[in-house]
Amino acid sequence: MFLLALTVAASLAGAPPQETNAPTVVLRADHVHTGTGAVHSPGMVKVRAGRIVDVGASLNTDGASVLELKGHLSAGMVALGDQTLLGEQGVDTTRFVLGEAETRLGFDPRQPAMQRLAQEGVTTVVLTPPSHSLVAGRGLIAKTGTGRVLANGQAMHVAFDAEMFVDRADPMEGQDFGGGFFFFFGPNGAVNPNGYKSSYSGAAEVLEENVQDPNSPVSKIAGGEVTAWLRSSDRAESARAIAFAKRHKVQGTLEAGPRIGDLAAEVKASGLGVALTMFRETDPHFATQSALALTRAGVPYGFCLSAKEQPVASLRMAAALCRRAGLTADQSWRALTSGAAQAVGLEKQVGALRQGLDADLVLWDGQPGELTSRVLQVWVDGQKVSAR
Amino acid sequence: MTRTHTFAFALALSIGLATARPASAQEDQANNDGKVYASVLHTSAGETLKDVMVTFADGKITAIAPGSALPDGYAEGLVLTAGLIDLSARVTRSENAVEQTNEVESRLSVANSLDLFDRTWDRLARSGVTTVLATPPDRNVVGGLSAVLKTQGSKDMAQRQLNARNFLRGAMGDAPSSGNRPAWGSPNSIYNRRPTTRMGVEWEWRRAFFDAAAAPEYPELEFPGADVFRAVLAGNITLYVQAFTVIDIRTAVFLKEEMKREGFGDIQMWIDGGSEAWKDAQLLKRSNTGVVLSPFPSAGYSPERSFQAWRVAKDLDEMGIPFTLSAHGRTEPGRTLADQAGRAMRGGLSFEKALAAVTSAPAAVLGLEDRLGTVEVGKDADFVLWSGQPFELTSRIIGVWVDGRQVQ
Repeated sequence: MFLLALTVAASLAGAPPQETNAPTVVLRADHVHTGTGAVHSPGMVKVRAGRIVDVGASLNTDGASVLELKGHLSAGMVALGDQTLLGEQGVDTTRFVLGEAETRLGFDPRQPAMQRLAQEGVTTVVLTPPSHSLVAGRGLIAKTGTGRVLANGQAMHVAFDAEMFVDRADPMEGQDFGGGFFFFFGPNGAVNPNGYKSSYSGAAEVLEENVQDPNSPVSKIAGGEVTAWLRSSDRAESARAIAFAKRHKVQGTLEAGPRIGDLAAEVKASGLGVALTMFRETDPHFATQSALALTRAGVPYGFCLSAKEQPVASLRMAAALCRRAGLTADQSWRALTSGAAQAVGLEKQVGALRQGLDADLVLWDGQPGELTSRVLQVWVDGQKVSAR
Repeated sequence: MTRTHTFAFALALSIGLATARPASAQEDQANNDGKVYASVLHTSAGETLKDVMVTFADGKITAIAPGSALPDGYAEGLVLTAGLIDLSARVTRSENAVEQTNEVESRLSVANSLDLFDRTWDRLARSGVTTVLATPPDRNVVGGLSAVLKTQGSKDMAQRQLNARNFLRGAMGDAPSSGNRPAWGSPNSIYNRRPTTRMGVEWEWRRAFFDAAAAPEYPELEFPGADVFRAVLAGNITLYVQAFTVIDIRTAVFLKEEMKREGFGDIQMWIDGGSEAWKDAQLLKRSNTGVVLSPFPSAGYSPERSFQAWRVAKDLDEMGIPFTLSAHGRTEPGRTLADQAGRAMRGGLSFEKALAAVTSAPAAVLGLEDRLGTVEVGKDADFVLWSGQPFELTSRIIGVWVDGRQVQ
């Protein structure tokens, strides 16, 4: 009950607190990395009511309290495609197409993993339902530290990968046991009462039906009324997702595997952003080459992170591997911040230190995002949520 | 390393060294324009020309100049043919291409399940196959609609697909019923798929056709995809049925004849497999049914314990039964489509007939005879360049072009 109340409160909050007489705070640091190419040393960031009012080398501090900080101040990082923060109860297996489901109703914004993300400098996290359905409903975007759920960015989650076939009547496992064992001890997936399809062709047909049916919530992604999160893994799946987006003028994000770089031109033409799943690869070669290709093509992209299964620092590790493969420090930092924000349509809200954006700030003891740098303090929506 | 492996490796190495760059090609890869010189050109259109320069632009053949002098630096003894076409390339091997919710899935298109990034496409192209008919795996009684595509080209499925005749794919025999088993793996419960017998498979076929034919009068018989069966009955979609043994071939042909007898329509049918077609060739002749022959077995039996004699291609040809050859997508040395043509020749088929069975004949089945299957001005620039007489064991493929682009 307590969790429910929290959830509702969080989801109702919608926007940063807008106080009429909000105090103005100026943070002055040795170095301010705006994320838009400029570094002010020293520099200042003026914050009021959870938003950035101004950024510069020297600002008017009249009527504001000034906070002196030692270190490097930057925007908070943005993690994409988290499937773990929702937990196992977030997986609904009753229907193959579940357009009405909303992740925010099952999300616990106060879980410890959210605090851990904040401590590591991740201030925005994009959740996707960990689903085995074709359409798993709406995802959400939340602020760490405060747990605020954004009113926008609740993308419709559509699968193009083979994850959606795991419930079909085709359990590969159990072959060694022979038929009798599973006959008595559970017909794992042998019954398919929920109409789950078992093939790409079958799923494609169901998706087309739903997109063209005005009564289906899925139809709202056609034309971009509701943004979409298209989950793919290999290149064939990504190509199908891109073709689908082109066909129905779908806007949103393509979650893609490490070889998406081969389709960089096609992604660019589709207008989709990319969420790169690169961390599970033992060999990062293809993923880093893809990051390079996406950068060259001008496609906004960020990295996926599973906060409960991976160290948060693996986000920084991904950026470091991309730098080793040839990205500049600036380019790899964008993948962690403004690029990731743009990939989910949040470029006017988070991802950089710029007037009008949310005051999500991270103070580092070294260069932001470097593997050897430590996070000293973190602010989310102007509130300090973590300090070392 | 076994001796076979050593040999295969040595062979691959020698081919690799020899084919670094065919000596007879000049082309502009960016514009898929170029020229190919050949000492001999088998056009597949009834002509054999000597010392030929074939010019192509924008992926189409623009000129064939016979009697050209051998240009400087060009090798002699090279033979050019049209690109090979396999109507049963079996490029859909993923378990995720099998729709298990329904035994009769006539609406689904296999195009949505194909992986254009699969290395199979490159292997097929290097083995001389430039166009394939892709079919759903035969784990359903009726698996859905097929797709025709080149083995190289755009990774965008909509662009890659050719505007060919439509085929509804299904199977007789034990593939869709194999022992009350899931599509892959072992049976694990009584809930596994049906049918489980040949009789059950045939019953699914007949029910689909009868319901589809009767539905306009009895709407309660209508089912999703019935319109596809009606299009088959109207002759607008070709029925493409896998059947290897003579009992399965008979079942398929009897179904076609029954539909005609009932007045439902005249089905255009092609049999995929047809290993035992020789046991009842009269039936195929009588019903005007074509055969896409299964690969010739090296030893033992063809699929489903059928027996395919090496002279079956020659027999079909002598009976006047339309047929093509297939390698079922195999690309290893000795098993390619070119090797199947060689085996058909060893069974008594002439070279011209064997060449037609892998070029012009399948092009006609696809309804693409205006575009593929022969080397003529205006056709697609799909070629295979051979080091000697095609289909001979001593000849190898040294260059393949698809739409005017050389396969690397």
